[in-house]
Amino acid sequence: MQQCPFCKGENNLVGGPCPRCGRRLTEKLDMRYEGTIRRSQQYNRTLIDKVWRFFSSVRNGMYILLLTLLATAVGTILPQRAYIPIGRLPGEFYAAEYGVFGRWYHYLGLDQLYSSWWYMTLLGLLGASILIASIDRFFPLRRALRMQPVKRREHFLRSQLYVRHSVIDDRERLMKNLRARRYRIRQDGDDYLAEKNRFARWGPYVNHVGLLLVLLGAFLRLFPFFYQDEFIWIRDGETVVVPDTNQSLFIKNEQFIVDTYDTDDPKFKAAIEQEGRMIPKNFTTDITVFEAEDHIAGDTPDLKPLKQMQVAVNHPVHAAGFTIYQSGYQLHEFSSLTLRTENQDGSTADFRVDTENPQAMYELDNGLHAELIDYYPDYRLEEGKVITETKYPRNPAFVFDIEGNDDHKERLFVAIDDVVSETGTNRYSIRAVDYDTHHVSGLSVKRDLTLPIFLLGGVIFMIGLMQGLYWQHRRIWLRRQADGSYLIAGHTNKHASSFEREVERLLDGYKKGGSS
Amino acid sequence: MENLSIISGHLLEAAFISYLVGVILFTWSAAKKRQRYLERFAFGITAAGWLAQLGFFTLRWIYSGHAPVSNLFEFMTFFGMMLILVLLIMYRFYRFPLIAVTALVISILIIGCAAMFPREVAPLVPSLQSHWLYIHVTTAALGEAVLSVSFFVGFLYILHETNQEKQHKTARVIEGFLVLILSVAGYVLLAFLFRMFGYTANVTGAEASIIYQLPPFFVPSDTVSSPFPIQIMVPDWLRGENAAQKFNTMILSLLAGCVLYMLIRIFTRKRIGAALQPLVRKLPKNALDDIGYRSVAVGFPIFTLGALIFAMIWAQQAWDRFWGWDPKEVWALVTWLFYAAYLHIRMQKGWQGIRSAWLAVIGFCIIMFNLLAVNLLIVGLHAYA
Ligand code: HEM
Repeated sequence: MQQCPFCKGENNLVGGPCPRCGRRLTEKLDMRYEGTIRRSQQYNRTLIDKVWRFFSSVRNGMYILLLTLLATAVGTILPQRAYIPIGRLPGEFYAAEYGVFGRWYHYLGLDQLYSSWWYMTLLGLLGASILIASIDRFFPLRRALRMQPVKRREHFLRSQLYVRHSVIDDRERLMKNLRARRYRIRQDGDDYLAEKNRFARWGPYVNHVGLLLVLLGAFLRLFPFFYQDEFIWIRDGETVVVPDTNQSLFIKNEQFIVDTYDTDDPKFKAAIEQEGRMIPKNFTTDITVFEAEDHIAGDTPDLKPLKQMQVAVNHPVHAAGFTIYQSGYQLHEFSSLTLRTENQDGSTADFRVDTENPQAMYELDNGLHAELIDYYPDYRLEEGKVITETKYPRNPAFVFDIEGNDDHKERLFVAIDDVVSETGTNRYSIRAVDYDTHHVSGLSVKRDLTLPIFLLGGVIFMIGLMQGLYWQHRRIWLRRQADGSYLIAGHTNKHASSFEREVERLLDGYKKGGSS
Repeated sequence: MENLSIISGHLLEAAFISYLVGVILFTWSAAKKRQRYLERFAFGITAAGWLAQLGFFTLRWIYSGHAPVSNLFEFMTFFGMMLILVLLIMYRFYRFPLIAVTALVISILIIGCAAMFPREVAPLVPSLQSHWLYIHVTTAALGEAVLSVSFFVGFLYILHETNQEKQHKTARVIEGFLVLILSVAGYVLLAFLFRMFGYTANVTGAEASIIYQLPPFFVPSDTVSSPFPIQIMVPDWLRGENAAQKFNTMILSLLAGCVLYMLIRIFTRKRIGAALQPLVRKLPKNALDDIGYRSVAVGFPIFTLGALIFAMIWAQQAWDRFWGWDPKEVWALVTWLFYAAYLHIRMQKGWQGIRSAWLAVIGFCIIMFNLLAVNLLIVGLHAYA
């Protein structure tokens, strides 16, 4: 029994291929850098050498890659914090929905895994690994590819993947056939070297550069100069300033339109019924973008219309260096509620409360004063307590202190369909009698200078991938032997079997006398 | 117009039946010595089935007004179609009937599962109304189909290499894998049968009631009444959306898979892996290894382009961010990282052959996980339907 040098298994290697890994014992030359040494194999003294050596190893790189893969997958076990229902507290949500496991998931920070320091570190290590491994191999590869003598030692040729002897009388014809298969031919005395697709060897380096660009883009996003992300809700007809633009950019919602699919459309009827709700077809906002001129803080700015346009889902628009996306909407928010108060003698008075800017005090015609104590734009009862789910007036509720002229005060909670007296007395009454609503359009306003970097990285990555994976570097050496016949040796950096087929076909074609 | 929809449905059925016939013919020709006409016939039937499916796809597109890749039914049938396309192209280079059998079986199971999801033509929500929908989905599916080939040949390679007398552990893993595949078949059969007889069971719970399409052995822990005599409450921690129902389906499918497995074993009277081995042994293992690597080398760029780059361009337009860590996106990234690792690991000495084959099996499991489990188990933006 003998040990196979490749798979290290105990094998009976008498001549033939190893039954476990299929290789032959007769050692083939490692042609990756044609035997030249890399930096990482040369030095191992200083700390830098050691770090360099660590990151240049593909094996270590793959450990980092697989760790990243595992971490990435772990983040999908439970929803990330960004996707939990609005208004739920993470600490409470994970424990309530997923029990002990959820509590730990949240406690360990796995609910924000992708922005955690250790995930970022993993990506950084991956980048370092790609960079260093590539540099480490770049120079030996360049040297190997540049210095390619046509004449090679017999031993070198004999330890190639493909080796054959042949008598070749009409060399010109063979060369013509090789050229027809896009080989480039160099000659030195009686020896030849036919080579093609050398550029394929650079594929991995090109694609790694693309990857590094993508990682760079991700890093630059941490800086506001490169990446700014704002979100605004605008009511129909309203003008809103875009935050963090130094009060210089304003957007007006001229009109917001929602279209839903026709529930009677025979085509979609069944699917809409199954969905059980209206399915939106399109939502679009007509907007005007304004720029503030000579704006002094505190003043109402002079607005100069810049552009008028229409923004819809999948059709973002560009203005003032920003891209504007239609990204949400809210139908039938309450703009105001009309409340009716009733005095103890039955005289009534109505007043309107604006949901955006409710007044602190309302003096009413029937002699009552209503003082606003509390306002919940989007109220919900939670464990007997009133809370507001969002700051948008989707379900407004107010707490008023109502007072007549006789110092009797009543505290009342008023919502659209509900009134509760908190003081327990019922001398005065109040209820909602009317309301106005509006639609709100949610626009996301972004400036992202990293996008071109990502795109460039992606393009370079794809070019490198195809370069390295769809082409192969192939070489055929012809060395004249003492008896006048030729030793033919061939090498390809991958897909040996189809290379062998190509050479066989070339040689057979030559023997048959035609051009292949 | 209504007719288009009906014709398109029949074309899919025709395609499905052709693939079934194709499997039988290819298996037959794999079992016999080379018989050109039989192979050609098998190829022809499969190709005809593919054309029928193309017809289904085209008519459905015309009828609905958008590329039919927008829900789970449509996407899975499309993926099956891409698998067959890749098989047909590959068969022109490598005429190994067994590879065709493996690919066909998997496609048939995928299309079979697809048919169990809602099949109505659904209108597109605004974010899906984009040319990128079909550019992204079709390239991603094509990439995944090409990558899957490495699993087909990898699995055959493992069958080929496993010493059924000595390597008991590996042999058992193979049988386990076959049981899983048979469970998918079991699911399709069960769902098809119960649907044919119009079976439904209404399980009433404290808060909501659920309609089961299969007999409800496993019911939610708050069940009040069930029309079925046996009721096993699922443990309390299983509480995702319809968790009990999904669990019920899973267990029944596994049971059906085991029954199918037993039936086959009674018939073959040895491990299925051992019964298949003589067929697989005829294949040159180096060619299998080679095809496996090649399919990753060809599929990886296509997958990158479709599932990551096109997806990101579209997400930027539709959702104003090209990446949002949505589970479906994340699993595309996991798939991508895995196949990147495959390419590097294969460069190391001693990682070709059997180890690569195992990696290819894992890769396919990840693809399937992303296709099905992410939609069914994890909720996200993509959760089709
Ligand atoms: C997501 C990450 C990565 C991707 C997508 C990627 C992609 C690729 C691809 C496609 C190849 C060509 C493989 C082939 O021809 O079969 C390659 C080669 C290579 N990669 Fe990576 N890579 C990644 C990370 C890394 C890391 C972390 C290292 C560090 C150790 C590394 C080191 C190498 C080396 C040394 C080569 C061979 C270069 C040559 O043939 O001259 N890669 N890479």
